[in-house]
Amino acid sequence: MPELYVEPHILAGAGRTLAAERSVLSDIADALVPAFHVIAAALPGSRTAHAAGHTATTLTAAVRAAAAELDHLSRAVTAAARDYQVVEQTTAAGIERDNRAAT
Amino acid sequence: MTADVRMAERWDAWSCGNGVSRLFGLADDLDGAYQRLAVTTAGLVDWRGPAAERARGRMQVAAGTVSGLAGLVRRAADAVRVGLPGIAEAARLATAPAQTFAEAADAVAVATSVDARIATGLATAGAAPAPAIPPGGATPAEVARWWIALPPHLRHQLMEHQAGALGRLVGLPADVRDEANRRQLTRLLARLRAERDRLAGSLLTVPLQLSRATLLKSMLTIAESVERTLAMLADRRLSARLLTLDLIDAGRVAIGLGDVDRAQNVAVVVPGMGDDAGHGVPGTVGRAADLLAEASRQSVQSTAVVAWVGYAAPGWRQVTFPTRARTGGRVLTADLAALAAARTGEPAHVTLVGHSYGSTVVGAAMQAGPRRADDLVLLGSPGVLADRVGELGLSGRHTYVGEAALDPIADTGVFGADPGDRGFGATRIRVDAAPGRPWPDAIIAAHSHYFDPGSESLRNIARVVVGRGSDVTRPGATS
Repeated sequence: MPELYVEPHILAGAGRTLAAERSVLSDIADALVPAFHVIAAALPGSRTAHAAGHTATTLTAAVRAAAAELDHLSRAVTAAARDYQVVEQTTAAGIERDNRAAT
Repeated sequence: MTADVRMAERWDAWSCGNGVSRLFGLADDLDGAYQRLAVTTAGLVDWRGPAAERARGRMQVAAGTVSGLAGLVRRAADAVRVGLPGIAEAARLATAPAQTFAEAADAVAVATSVDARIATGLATAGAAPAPAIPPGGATPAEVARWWIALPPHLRHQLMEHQAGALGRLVGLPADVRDEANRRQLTRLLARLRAERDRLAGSLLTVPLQLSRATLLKSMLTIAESVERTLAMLADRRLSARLLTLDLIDAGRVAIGLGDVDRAQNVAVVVPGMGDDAGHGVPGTVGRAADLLAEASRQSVQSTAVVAWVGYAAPGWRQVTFPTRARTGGRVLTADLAALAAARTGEPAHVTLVGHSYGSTVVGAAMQAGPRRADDLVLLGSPGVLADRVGELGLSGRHTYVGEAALDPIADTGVFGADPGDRGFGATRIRVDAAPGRPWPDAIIAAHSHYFDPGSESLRNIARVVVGRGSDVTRPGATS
């Protein structure tokens, strides 16, 4: 049987960090297109303006995909922390009941 | 698509630069997200079990992805940043009044070329993976751009595992070179000391062992000299960056005092005979520190000074030959190109300060490639491999010569005309009389007191360094 060790409160903290960074990445994705648009607007009619639009789309999609992955991870880690806490609390309550029954 | 003049007329480099700054800011935000994710993943090290392995693995991949995105956004920003001067030039040409047909054609050519270059850079920035460490022949500009686009997790990995290779790359920011070279110094010192102790316990009778011991001693001399000098600078609370560390052969060391990547003025002090990496580091750094202190008294502008012990300075037997000056000049030119490439802001006002044979190296550097310095200060010079100031690529108003009255080297003109002669065309600066010493110390003192703190000579060098060359005092004038 594999070794198991977990501190649920640290895991819960990690879940919160992942959620916060997901939010940061979403904000960055929102800001990328306007930033590239400033460049495109400063160079009207140029190939650069065209390439800036294309690059903005590609990078924004990639940042959103990374944000989605962080979202999945955040949910999974937060759920795991909650499950471990439940196991811990249930086990502690069971031991307490056994103690009372024995005395 | 070909640019036309009316199109380029409406180009706005300033706004474009604004967009670039925003992209660099977003790349920094992605860097921050990566750092926090990496710390969080590392904080889960005690979590054990099958779920832990999977979750940590995915979190590491996610952090690496975010780091990679930071690199891509920074690369896109840099692709446009390097084109900003071209955009400004294209707009200026397009809006120039009363153009001839040829001028209009030039404007179109410039606009089309810069536009194509940026568009190609942007297109690759959105998709291409970060390239591996640049090959040895990469130019400083190529290295600088590679580093800018490198995701932070790869930067971290390289610093951890290939600090030696990183420190040897020319074109990296000074802080990066400093960290890499200091790590390398620590590593090399430990290895060399261990080997010295091992050899000390054996009889050095085998020729191979003897030659290894000699090499070891030479490398340790340089490394320990650098170690002591950095400790001295830390004690004096001087901000220092170990820009170059090479222990092979005569060795090469360069230590920057101040912020060489951002300072408005950068001076490079080039020492002369006997001041090779094994013997010249503390002295050259001391002179650089005195010059930096005087420069800060002469101007409120920011200044940095590089103590460049970067060539095989000759001993008595080689000093009458220009070979080492020519070789050193080529290396100095390359190092100046590296300093310029690492700057992301305005170019610095660069002054080369050469003492004795170091001035010959400076002369060789100025003739070795594109102009890399705005002003020269030649002190106690035996010649700069030129007969007239014009051969150095600068006018007499930007070439300054200091010669002490009793300096026996300054009037020799061994390597071309005496730079202090009127016919050479440089500007003479006032230097103090050497401190009174009995013969023969007076002669040595006359050749080696140009950087004395509080001296008029040091004040004049500093005036040139901070761009106030017109304020230097001339021989015969009172300060």
